[in-house]
Amino acid sequence: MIKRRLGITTIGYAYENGIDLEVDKEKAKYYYELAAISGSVLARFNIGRFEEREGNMNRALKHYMISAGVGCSKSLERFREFFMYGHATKDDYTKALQAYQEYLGEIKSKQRDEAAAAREDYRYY
Amino acid sequence: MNHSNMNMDNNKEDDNAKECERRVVERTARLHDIELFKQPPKEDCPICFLRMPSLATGSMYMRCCGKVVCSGCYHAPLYDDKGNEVDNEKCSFCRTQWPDLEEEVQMSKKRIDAGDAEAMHNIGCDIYYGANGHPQDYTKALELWHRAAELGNVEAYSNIGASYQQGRGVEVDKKKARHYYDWLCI
Repeated sequence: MIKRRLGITTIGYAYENGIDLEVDKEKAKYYYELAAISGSVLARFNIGRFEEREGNMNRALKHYMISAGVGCSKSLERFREFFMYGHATKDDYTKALQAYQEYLGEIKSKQRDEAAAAREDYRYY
Repeated sequence: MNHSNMNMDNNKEDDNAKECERRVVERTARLHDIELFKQPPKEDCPICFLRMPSLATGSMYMRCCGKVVCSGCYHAPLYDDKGNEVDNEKCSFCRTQWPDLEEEVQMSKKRIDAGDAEAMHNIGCDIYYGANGHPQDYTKALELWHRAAELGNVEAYSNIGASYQQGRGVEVDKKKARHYYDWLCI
Protein backbone atom coordinates (compact mmCIF):
# COMPACT_ATOMS: atom_id res chain seq x y z
CA MET A 1 0.00 0.00 0.00
CA ILE A 2 2.76 2.43 0.95
CA LYS A 3 4.67 1.75 -2.25
CA ARG A 4 1.64 2.22 -4.43
CA ARG A 5 0.94 5.55 -2.77
CA LEU A 6 4.47 6.83 -3.44
CA GLY A 7 4.30 5.76 -7.07
CA ILE A 8 1.13 7.66 -7.80
CA THR A 9 2.44 10.80 -6.08
CA THR A 10 5.56 10.78 -8.24
CA ILE A 11 3.48 10.55 -11.42
CA GLY A 12 1.49 13.57 -10.33
CA TYR A 13 4.74 15.41 -9.61
CA ALA A 14 6.08 14.46 -13.04
CA TYR A 15 3.00 15.85 -14.75
CA GLU A 16 3.05 19.04 -12.72
CA ASN A 17 6.66 19.88 -13.44
CA GLY A 18 6.76 18.40 -16.92
CA ILE A 19 9.48 15.83 -16.29
CA ASP A 20 9.70 14.04 -19.65
CA LEU A 21 5.95 14.29 -19.97
CA GLU A 22 4.10 17.27 -21.29
CA VAL A 23 2.93 19.52 -18.48
CA ASP A 24 -0.67 18.62 -17.89
CA LYS A 25 -2.11 20.11 -14.71
CA GLU A 26 -5.41 18.29 -14.96
CA LYS A 27 -3.74 14.89 -15.18
CA ALA A 28 -1.35 15.85 -12.37
CA LYS A 29 -4.32 16.70 -10.20
CA TYR A 30 -6.04 13.46 -11.17
CA TYR A 31 -3.08 11.33 -10.08
CA TYR A 32 -2.59 13.35 -6.90
CA GLU A 33 -6.23 12.72 -6.04
CA LEU A 34 -5.77 8.98 -6.53
CA ALA A 35 -2.76 9.09 -4.22
CA ALA A 36 -4.59 11.18 -1.63
CA ILE A 37 -7.51 8.76 -1.56
CA SER A 38 -5.12 5.89 -0.81
CA GLY A 39 -3.61 8.00 1.99
CA SER A 40 -0.66 10.08 0.79
CA VAL A 41 -0.12 13.25 2.85
CA LEU A 42 2.12 15.08 0.39
CA ALA A 43 -0.30 14.52 -2.48
CA ARG A 44 -3.12 16.01 -0.43
CA PHE A 45 -1.05 19.10 0.32
CA ASN A 46 -0.33 19.47 -3.41
CA ILE A 47 -4.02 19.24 -4.30
CA GLY A 48 -4.57 21.99 -1.74
CA ARG A 49 -2.11 24.18 -3.65
CA PHE A 50 -3.94 23.40 -6.91
CA GLU A 51 -7.30 24.39 -5.49
CA GLU A 52 -5.80 27.55 -4.05
CA ARG A 53 -4.50 28.61 -7.46
CA GLU A 54 -7.88 27.89 -9.02
CA GLY A 55 -9.53 30.05 -6.37
CA ASN A 56 -11.52 27.32 -4.58
CA MET A 57 -10.51 28.42 -1.11
CA ASN A 58 -13.11 26.28 0.66
CA ARG A 59 -11.90 23.05 -0.91
CA ALA A 60 -8.26 24.01 -0.27
CA LEU A 61 -9.10 24.64 3.39
CA LYS A 62 -10.72 21.20 3.67
CA HIS A 63 -7.62 19.54 2.26
CA TYR A 64 -5.28 21.48 4.56
CA MET A 65 -7.48 20.60 7.52
CA ILE A 66 -7.21 16.87 6.78
CA SER A 67 -3.47 16.94 6.11
CA ALA A 68 -2.84 18.93 9.31
CA GLY A 69 -4.54 16.10 11.19
CA VAL A 70 -2.18 13.59 9.57
CA GLY A 71 0.92 15.60 10.44
CA CYS A 72 1.75 17.94 7.56
CA SER A 73 3.42 21.02 9.07
CA LYS A 74 3.49 22.80 5.70
CA SER A 75 -0.28 22.90 5.56
CA LEU A 76 -0.29 24.63 8.96
CA GLU A 77 1.84 27.40 7.45
CA ARG A 78 -0.63 27.73 4.56
CA PHE A 79 -3.41 27.87 7.13
CA ARG A 80 -1.71 30.75 8.91
CA GLU A 81 -1.45 32.66 5.65
CA PHE A 82 -5.12 32.00 4.91
CA PHE A 83 -5.98 33.34 8.34
CA MET A 84 -3.87 36.47 7.79
CA TYR A 85 -5.58 37.27 4.48
CA GLY A 86 -9.02 36.53 5.86
CA HIS A 87 -9.88 33.34 3.95
CA ALA A 88 -10.06 31.28 7.14
CA THR A 89 -11.77 32.06 10.43
CA LYS A 90 -10.09 31.88 13.80
CA ASP A 91 -12.12 28.78 14.67
CA ASP A 92 -10.76 26.89 11.66
CA TYR A 93 -7.20 27.82 12.54
CA THR A 94 -7.50 26.68 16.14
CA LYS A 95 -9.15 23.44 14.98
CA ALA A 96 -6.24 22.72 12.63
CA LEU A 97 -3.71 23.47 15.36
CA GLN A 98 -5.56 21.16 17.76
CA ALA A 99 -5.63 18.37 15.17
CA TYR A 100 -1.90 18.71 14.62
CA GLN A 101 -1.19 18.70 18.37
CA GLU A 102 -3.31 15.57 18.74
CA TYR A 103 -1.29 13.87 16.00
CA LEU A 104 1.97 14.88 17.71
CA GLY A 105 0.73 13.50 21.01
CA GLU A 106 -0.03 10.17 19.36
CA ILE A 107 3.29 9.69 17.60
CA LYS A 108 5.69 11.09 20.22
CA SER A 109 7.65 8.57 22.26
CA LYS A 110 10.91 8.53 24.19
CA GLN A 111 12.41 5.87 21.92
CA ARG A 112 11.74 7.87 18.79
CA ASP A 113 13.11 11.04 20.37
CA GLU A 114 16.33 9.19 21.21
CA ALA A 115 16.61 7.91 17.65
CA ALA A 116 16.00 11.39 16.24
CA ALA A 117 18.64 12.86 18.55
CA ALA A 118 21.17 10.20 17.55
CA ARG A 119 20.81 10.61 13.80
CA GLU A 120 19.42 13.35 11.58
CA ASP A 121 17.96 10.64 9.23
CA TYR A 122 15.54 9.45 11.91
CA ARG A 123 13.69 12.75 12.32
CA TYR A 124 10.00 11.96 12.48
CA TYR A 125 8.05 15.24 12.73
CA MET B 1 -49.02 14.97 -39.01
CA ASN B 2 -47.50 11.68 -38.03
CA HIS B 3 -44.08 12.87 -38.98
CA SER B 4 -44.15 15.96 -36.76
CA ASN B 5 -45.26 13.85 -33.77
CA MET B 6 -42.23 11.60 -34.22
CA ASN B 7 -39.98 14.67 -34.18
CA MET B 8 -41.53 15.93 -30.96
CA ASP B 9 -40.95 12.56 -29.32
CA ASN B 10 -37.33 12.52 -30.44
CA ASN B 11 -36.76 15.98 -28.98
CA LYS B 12 -38.27 14.91 -25.67
CA GLU B 13 -36.07 11.83 -25.55
CA ASP B 14 -33.01 13.97 -26.24
CA ASP B 15 -33.91 16.30 -23.39
CA ASN B 16 -34.43 13.35 -21.07
CA ALA B 17 -31.07 11.87 -22.03
CA LYS B 18 -29.31 15.20 -21.40
CA GLU B 19 -31.00 15.57 -18.02
CA CYS B 20 -29.96 12.03 -17.10
CA GLU B 21 -26.38 12.66 -18.14
CA ARG B 22 -26.20 15.87 -16.13
CA ARG B 23 -27.48 14.07 -13.05
CA VAL B 24 -24.99 11.24 -13.49
CA VAL B 25 -22.10 13.70 -13.78
CA GLU B 26 -23.28 15.55 -10.68
CA ARG B 27 -23.66 12.36 -8.69
CA THR B 28 -20.24 10.97 -9.65
CA ALA B 29 -18.65 14.28 -8.70
CA ARG B 30 -20.38 14.15 -5.33
CA LEU B 31 -19.34 10.54 -4.71
CA HIS B 32 -15.77 11.39 -5.71
CA ASP B 33 -15.74 14.27 -3.22
CA ILE B 34 -17.00 12.02 -0.44
CA GLU B 35 -14.18 9.57 -1.10
CA LEU B 36 -11.59 12.33 -1.48
CA PHE B 37 -12.38 14.11 1.79
CA LYS B 38 -12.32 10.98 3.91
CA GLN B 39 -9.89 11.01 6.83
CA PRO B 40 -7.03 8.65 5.87
CA PRO B 41 -6.61 5.49 7.97
CA LYS B 42 -4.10 5.30 10.82
CA GLU B 43 -1.23 2.81 10.66
CA ASP B 44 0.64 1.43 13.66
CA CYS B 45 4.22 0.30 14.09
CA PRO B 46 4.13 -3.52 14.44
CA ILE B 47 6.51 -3.45 17.44
CA CYS B 48 5.59 -0.54 19.71
CA PHE B 49 1.96 -0.20 18.49
CA LEU B 50 2.28 3.59 18.43
CA ARG B 51 1.01 5.47 15.43
CA MET B 52 3.41 5.47 12.47
CA PRO B 53 4.81 8.93 11.65
CA SER B 54 3.82 10.17 8.20
CA LEU B 55 7.24 11.69 7.47
CA ALA B 56 9.29 9.42 5.18
CA THR B 57 12.32 9.36 7.52
CA GLY B 58 10.20 8.09 10.40
CA SER B 59 9.90 4.50 9.14
CA MET B 60 12.25 1.79 7.89
CA TYR B 61 11.78 -1.22 5.58
CA MET B 62 13.27 -4.50 6.89
CA ARG B 63 14.87 -6.59 4.18
CA CYS B 64 14.81 -9.91 6.02
CA CYS B 65 11.12 -10.12 6.91
CA GLY B 66 9.57 -7.38 4.78
CA LYS B 67 8.04 -5.39 7.65
CA VAL B 68 7.93 -1.61 7.98
CA VAL B 69 9.15 -0.51 11.42
CA CYS B 70 9.27 2.96 13.01
CA SER B 71 12.64 4.69 13.42
CA GLY B 72 12.54 4.47 17.22
CA CYS B 73 12.19 0.67 17.23
CA TYR B 74 14.85 0.38 14.54
CA HIS B 75 17.36 2.43 16.51
CA ALA B 76 16.61 0.97 19.97
CA PRO B 77 19.16 -1.48 21.43
CA LEU B 78 18.19 -5.18 21.70
CA TYR B 79 18.33 -7.11 25.00
CA ASP B 80 18.43 -10.86 25.68
CA ASP B 81 16.55 -12.69 28.48
CA LYS B 82 19.00 -11.64 31.22
CA GLY B 83 18.87 -7.96 30.33
CA ASN B 84 22.26 -7.76 28.63
CA GLU B 85 22.58 -5.64 25.55
CA VAL B 86 23.02 -7.71 22.39
CA ASP B 87 25.03 -6.40 19.47
CA ASN B 88 22.83 -4.47 17.09
CA GLU B 89 23.35 -6.75 14.10
CA LYS B 90 19.87 -8.22 14.33
CA CYS B 91 16.58 -7.25 12.78
CA SER B 92 14.39 -5.58 15.40
CA PHE B 93 11.26 -7.41 14.21
CA CYS B 94 12.22 -11.04 13.48
CA ARG B 95 15.42 -11.02 15.64
CA THR B 96 17.51 -12.86 13.08
CA GLN B 97 21.02 -11.88 12.11
CA TRP B 98 21.23 -9.54 9.11
CA PRO B 99 22.04 -11.85 6.16
CA ASP B 100 25.49 -11.60 4.52
CA LEU B 101 25.77 -10.46 0.94
CA GLU B 102 26.26 -13.99 -0.42
CA GLU B 103 23.53 -15.34 1.81
CA GLU B 104 21.18 -12.60 0.73
CA VAL B 105 21.82 -13.31 -2.95
CA GLN B 106 21.13 -17.00 -2.47
CA MET B 107 18.03 -16.34 -0.38
CA SER B 108 16.61 -14.03 -2.99
CA LYS B 109 17.44 -16.48 -5.81
CA LYS B 110 15.35 -19.05 -4.01
CA ARG B 111 12.57 -16.55 -3.58
CA ILE B 112 12.66 -15.62 -7.26
CA ASP B 113 12.37 -19.27 -8.25
CA ALA B 114 9.39 -19.60 -5.94
CA GLY B 115 7.77 -16.60 -7.63
CA ASP B 116 8.10 -13.79 -5.05
CA ALA B 117 7.40 -10.50 -6.82
CA GLU B 118 8.99 -8.38 -4.08
CA ALA B 119 12.31 -10.25 -4.32
CA MET B 120 12.28 -9.98 -8.12
CA HIS B 121 11.81 -6.24 -7.87
CA ASN B 122 14.60 -5.86 -5.29
CA ILE B 123 17.14 -7.90 -7.22
CA GLY B 124 16.11 -6.10 -10.41
CA CYS B 125 17.00 -2.80 -8.74
CA ASP B 126 20.37 -4.21 -7.58
CA ILE B 127 21.19 -5.35 -11.11
CA TYR B 128 20.05 -2.04 -12.59
CA TYR B 129 22.46 -0.04 -10.41
CA GLY B 130 25.14 -2.74 -10.27
CA ALA B 131 24.95 -2.78 -6.46
CA ASN B 132 25.51 -5.54 -3.88
CA GLY B 133 27.88 -7.62 -6.00
CA HIS B 134 25.68 -7.86 -9.08
CA PRO B 135 27.15 -6.87 -12.46
CA GLN B 136 25.23 -4.00 -14.05
CA ASP B 137 22.87 -5.12 -16.79
CA TYR B 138 19.90 -3.02 -17.87
CA THR B 139 18.16 -5.66 -20.03
CA LYS B 140 18.35 -8.32 -17.31
CA ALA B 141 16.92 -5.89 -14.78
CA LEU B 142 14.09 -5.05 -17.15
CA GLU B 143 13.28 -8.75 -17.61
CA LEU B 144 13.04 -9.21 -13.85
CA TRP B 145 10.87 -6.12 -13.47
CA HIS B 146 8.51 -7.32 -16.20
CA ARG B 147 8.08 -10.62 -14.39
CA ALA B 148 7.55 -8.87 -11.05
CA ALA B 149 5.03 -6.48 -12.60
CA GLU B 150 3.06 -9.36 -14.07
CA LEU B 151 2.88 -10.88 -10.59
CA GLY B 152 1.44 -7.65 -9.24
CA ASN B 153 4.34 -5.55 -7.95
CA VAL B 154 3.31 -1.94 -8.51
CA GLU B 155 6.71 -0.36 -7.99
CA ALA B 156 8.14 -2.46 -10.82
CA TYR B 157 5.78 -0.74 -13.27
CA SER B 158 7.11 2.66 -12.23
CA ASN B 159 10.67 1.47 -12.75
CA ILE B 160 9.88 0.16 -16.24
CA GLY B 161 8.26 3.50 -17.02
CA ALA B 162 11.31 5.37 -15.74
CA SER B 163 13.71 3.30 -17.83
CA TYR B 164 11.58 4.01 -20.90
CA GLN B 165 11.84 7.71 -20.07
CA GLN B 166 15.61 7.68 -19.72
CA GLY B 167 16.10 5.21 -22.53
CA ARG B 168 18.21 2.74 -20.56
CA GLY B 169 18.14 -0.79 -21.93
CA VAL B 170 15.43 0.24 -24.37
CA GLU B 171 15.01 2.93 -26.99
CA VAL B 172 13.47 6.14 -25.69
CA ASP B 173 9.75 5.74 -26.14
CA LYS B 174 7.67 8.23 -24.21
CA LYS B 175 4.39 6.70 -25.30
CA LYS B 176 5.35 3.35 -23.80
CA ALA B 177 6.62 5.07 -20.67
CA ARG B 178 3.23 6.72 -20.30
CA HIS B 179 1.56 3.33 -20.83
CA TYR B 180 3.48 1.72 -18.00
CA TYR B 181 2.92 4.66 -15.66
CA ASP B 182 -0.79 4.34 -16.35
CA TRP B 183 -0.64 0.68 -15.44
CA LEU B 184 0.84 1.70 -12.11
CA CYS B 185 -2.37 3.45 -11.15
CA ILE B 186 -4.87 0.74 -11.97
